[in-house]
Amino acid sequence: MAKKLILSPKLYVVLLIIAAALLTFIGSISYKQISEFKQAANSVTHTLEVETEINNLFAIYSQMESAQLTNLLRKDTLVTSISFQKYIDESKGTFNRLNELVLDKPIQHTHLTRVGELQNNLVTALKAIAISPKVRLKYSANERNKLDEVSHIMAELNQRKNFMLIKEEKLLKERKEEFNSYAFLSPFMILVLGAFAMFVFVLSFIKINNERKSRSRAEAFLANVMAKTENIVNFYEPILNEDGEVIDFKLVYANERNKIDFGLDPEVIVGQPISKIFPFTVLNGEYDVLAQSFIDKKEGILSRQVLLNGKKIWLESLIRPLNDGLLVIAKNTTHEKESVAKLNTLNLELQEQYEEIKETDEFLQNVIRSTNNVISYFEPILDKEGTIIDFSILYTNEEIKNTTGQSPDELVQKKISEAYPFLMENGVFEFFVEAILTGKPVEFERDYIFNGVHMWFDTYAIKTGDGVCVTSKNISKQKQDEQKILEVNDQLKIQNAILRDAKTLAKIGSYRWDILSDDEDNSEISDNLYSLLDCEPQEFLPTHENYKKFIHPEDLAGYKKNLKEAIDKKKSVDFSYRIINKSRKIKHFRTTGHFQDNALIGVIQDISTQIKDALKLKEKNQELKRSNEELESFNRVASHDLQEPIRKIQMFISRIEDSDYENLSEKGKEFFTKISSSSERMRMLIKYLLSYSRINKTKSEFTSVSLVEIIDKVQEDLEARIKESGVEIIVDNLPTLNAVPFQMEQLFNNIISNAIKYGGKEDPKIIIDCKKLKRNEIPNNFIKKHKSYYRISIIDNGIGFEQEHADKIFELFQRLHQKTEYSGTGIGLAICKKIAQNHGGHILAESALGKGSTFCVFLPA
Amino acid sequence: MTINVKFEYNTLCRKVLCEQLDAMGFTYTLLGTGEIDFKQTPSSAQMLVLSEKLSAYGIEIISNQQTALVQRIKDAVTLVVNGDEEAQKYNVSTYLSEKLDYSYAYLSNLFSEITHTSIENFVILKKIDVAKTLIIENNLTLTEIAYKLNYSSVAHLSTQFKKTTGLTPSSFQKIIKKRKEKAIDRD
Amino acid sequence: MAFQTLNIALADDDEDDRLLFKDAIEEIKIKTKLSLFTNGKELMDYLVLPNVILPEVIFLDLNMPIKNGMQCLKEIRENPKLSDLSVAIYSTSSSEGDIEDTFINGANVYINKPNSFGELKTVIDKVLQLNWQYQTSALNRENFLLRI
Repeated sequence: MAKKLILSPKLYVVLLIIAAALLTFIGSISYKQISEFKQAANSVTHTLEVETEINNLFAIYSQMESAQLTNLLRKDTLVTSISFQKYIDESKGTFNRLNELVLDKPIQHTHLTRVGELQNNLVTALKAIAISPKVRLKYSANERNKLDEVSHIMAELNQRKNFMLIKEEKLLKERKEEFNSYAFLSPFMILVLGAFAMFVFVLSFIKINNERKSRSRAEAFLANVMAKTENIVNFYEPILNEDGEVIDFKLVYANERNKIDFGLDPEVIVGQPISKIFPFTVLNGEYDVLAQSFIDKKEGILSRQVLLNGKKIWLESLIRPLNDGLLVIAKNTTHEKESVAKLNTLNLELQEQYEEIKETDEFLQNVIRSTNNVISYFEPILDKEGTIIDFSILYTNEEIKNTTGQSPDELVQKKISEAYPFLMENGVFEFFVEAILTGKPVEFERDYIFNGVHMWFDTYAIKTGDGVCVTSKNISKQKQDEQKILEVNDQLKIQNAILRDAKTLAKIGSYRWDILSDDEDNSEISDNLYSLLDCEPQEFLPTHENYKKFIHPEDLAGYKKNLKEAIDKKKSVDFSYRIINKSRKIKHFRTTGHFQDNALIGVIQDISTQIKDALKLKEKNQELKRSNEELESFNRVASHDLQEPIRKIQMFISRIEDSDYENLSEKGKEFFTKISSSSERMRMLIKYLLSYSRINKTKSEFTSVSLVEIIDKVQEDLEARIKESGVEIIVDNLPTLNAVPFQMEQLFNNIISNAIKYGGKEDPKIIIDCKKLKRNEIPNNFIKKHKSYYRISIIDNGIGFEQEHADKIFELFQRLHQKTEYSGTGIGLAICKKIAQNHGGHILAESALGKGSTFCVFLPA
Repeated sequence: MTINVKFEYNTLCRKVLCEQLDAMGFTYTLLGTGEIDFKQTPSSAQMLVLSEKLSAYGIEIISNQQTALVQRIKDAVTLVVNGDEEAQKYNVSTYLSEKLDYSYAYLSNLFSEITHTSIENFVILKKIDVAKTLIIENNLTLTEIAYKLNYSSVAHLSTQFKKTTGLTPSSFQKIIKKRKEKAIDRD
Repeated sequence: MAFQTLNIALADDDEDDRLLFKDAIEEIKIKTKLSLFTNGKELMDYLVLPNVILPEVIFLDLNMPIKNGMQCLKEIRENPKLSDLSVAIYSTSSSEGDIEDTFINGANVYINKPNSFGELKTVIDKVLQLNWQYQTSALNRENFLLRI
């Protein structure tokens, strides 16, 4: 119900109006009724009064007549006259009262007026009776008349009395009826309407009460707002002068904000003129604005900086006429203004910073791209309890490729437990967690093995955002260097230790000689130098003069000359000379040193052993030279002097063959043939030995050599034998390489002639082919200085040999066959081996008896 | 300083011959193949003087017909080797017998007797001589030289070169080059 | 003219070699007149004699006392009067370096002393023949190189 009632405020207004109207109506009706009742009651009272007075009056008349008549009968005139007079006064009073009562009733009045006349008549009549003799038994006619007349008047009076009473009776009856008609209507109406009005009022009260409550809430809210608002809200009322002109304003309301912005307590300032409180209002025409706003009832706006209590304040005021005053709402914009100014500077700074950041960003991007460091960003993966259990890779730069071989695309979005499972085990994961939890950067070194390469990384992890930014620097080289440095350090330590002993061992003594000053007081030499001179420490004064006494007389001049030169040029000294020590032994000393102030400071070393060693070395060198020369002359001998006799033997053999062979006996012929073949063999041996010994003499003759041309040449040279044996030579692609041309020719000539010599009887074939191999692809064990080699294979289908002899055949004078079976010297393949070695290569053979053989020559590509 | 010159023997010889013959007041005609046709036969005394004068220039008077014929064979061979188109059509023997109107057997015998070598050897010698000049000039590759000199292959040329000179074309080239460098050094 | 005698000179310190050479040259067809010298100095002294009949071909052993073959070769090539002579080196050495050196210094022929007499004859014959060709035919003497 309350809801319904609250529903429409308008309804209440209507209802209230109705209720008010009803109450007015009821009030007026009641008033009317009450006044009617009163009137009616008055009328009744009046009537009753009138009746009473009438009765009184006529009673008095009756008493008067009776009193007169009694007196007449008693003849007592004196008594009679006194009582009669009393009745007349009484009747006159009552009559007057009655006359007053019936003034408004014309009929009664008319009656009364007649009554008055009759009263007078009666009085007269009665008085007349009273003068006749007093008690008489018989009354004269006159006297009888007089009595009749009184009776007559009395009758008329009674009649009148009846008339009047009837009239009053009738009036009373009318009044009663009228009153009754009113009385019948009003109680019901009043009850109904009163109840309705009551109802309406109750409703209205509830409503009003509610409104009052909400209003008080609103007021409280407003007050709160006023108190809390950032605006200064003041209300001014004008102050007028005698002429009714506005001369100032009075502050009548001020909110709490005044305190904050102006430092003025509202309670203090309220009631004071604004010119006093806010002095700035009188400046710069502000007052005019206020006054104008007040007069014109128009809003005004002021925005300015004011000075109040020594503070500069930016104010923006809105002036609004309200009732008979001005509502001024001012906002302290000092902060805003400052903020704006600050904001502008800040913006500028930000702009600059942005530019910087942009540059930095680009720079960083470049850095990240070009850095040698692996930079990654990992985001933690949490379990239900919030513990970090893993990281996911959000970013990693290209450098990772050079490290793990994986591209960033492969890694991003993976978990580190998948991408780098080892991180979970070597404590690195815990470092990342630590970096996240503590927010402090963590740096550590770890070694990993990527693709079989052992690498060291210096990793720096720092919490960035929610994740961790990880920068890893490959410090393998530093590590290695460190390792080296450590090793070097160790060595140095050892060396230092050694050095301590070395001073004695290395026979070094130190000195400080004040050569340039007159006295040599500050000169000193180490104990070791004393012992080098075979003296006891401090055996002599450590002066240079004293030391010079030990110098070998033959070397003293040179020593002085060297020293003088050094002094003149102020350069450091380093020269050697001989001394004769205390025990008369000659030693070689070397003095090194430099000048400092007036002193020569340095060390002296006993280099006797070195000199001896150097001498020995010189001798050795000379020996070597000699032996080399001998070797060379041996070569000379071999090439010329050895060949000469054998050539001549052969020459004369051929002459005998030409001319005198037929003259020889059969035995002589046989011997002669043996001589011939032996001499030929010897010639071959000498020839091959010569070429063998020449091989390493030609190092400088390396040049670009086409093996195709070499093989062509060899085939040309061997043309006759190739034709004779019918061998087919198949040559594959051959390279051009850096070699000594004629050695190559010799090498292949030897191998190919070998292949022809030991070739198969049927369908002999030689295949020459070449393949380029990397160093590590060659299983055979020889010193491989070059990255890659050509493997030139010469394959034949000849008689072959047993693999166990494969190494032997390259040795000098090693032959596998009887001389008679195959001619040969046992030098050819040795030459091949030497040539291959001379070229930084290698030669080997693979074969099986009867299955042909393969000769492989490895030469640097 | 050393400069290399190339000279035309024929022009040189003709000029020298003309000068000398004119000086002695002969009426003559020079025939292309090294023959001089005199209007009047010179006296033996005149011949002696001429012989002496010409020998100073390295020109000899070939006494008999046979040596003249040999000279003509050599000239013909030179033509063949230098790539005369007409000569190229035939093989050497046919070309020679047709050109000189003698049987090849006769020419061959005569040539061997006079020069101590066969026509075939001379052809090879001549060819290799041209090859040498070309190799030294170094404008043509060995393949091109082989083609120019009518060899079936480089190998054939190389083989014949080696056989004739005892050297390979490249070592020949190297030696000549070094020889020239040395000559320049010496000056 | 065709059968004129060829003048030949040989400088070799080895008596046997001189003998063999002489024997060989006597057995070949070409008519020759051989002068023998036991060392380089003898040869050079002879060559610079006035009115000397210069040999067509000089055979030079390399390894000789007093004045060796190489020195002779150089002197011959430096002497304008002798520079046109054909020089054949006649040596035991088969060293490539020696061979190349002599050619560069102006030798026309390099002969490795043969092992048989027959071979010697062939070699001499070949040299003389070839030299004859260079002398009589329009061949470029500048390019006269032969190695046997």
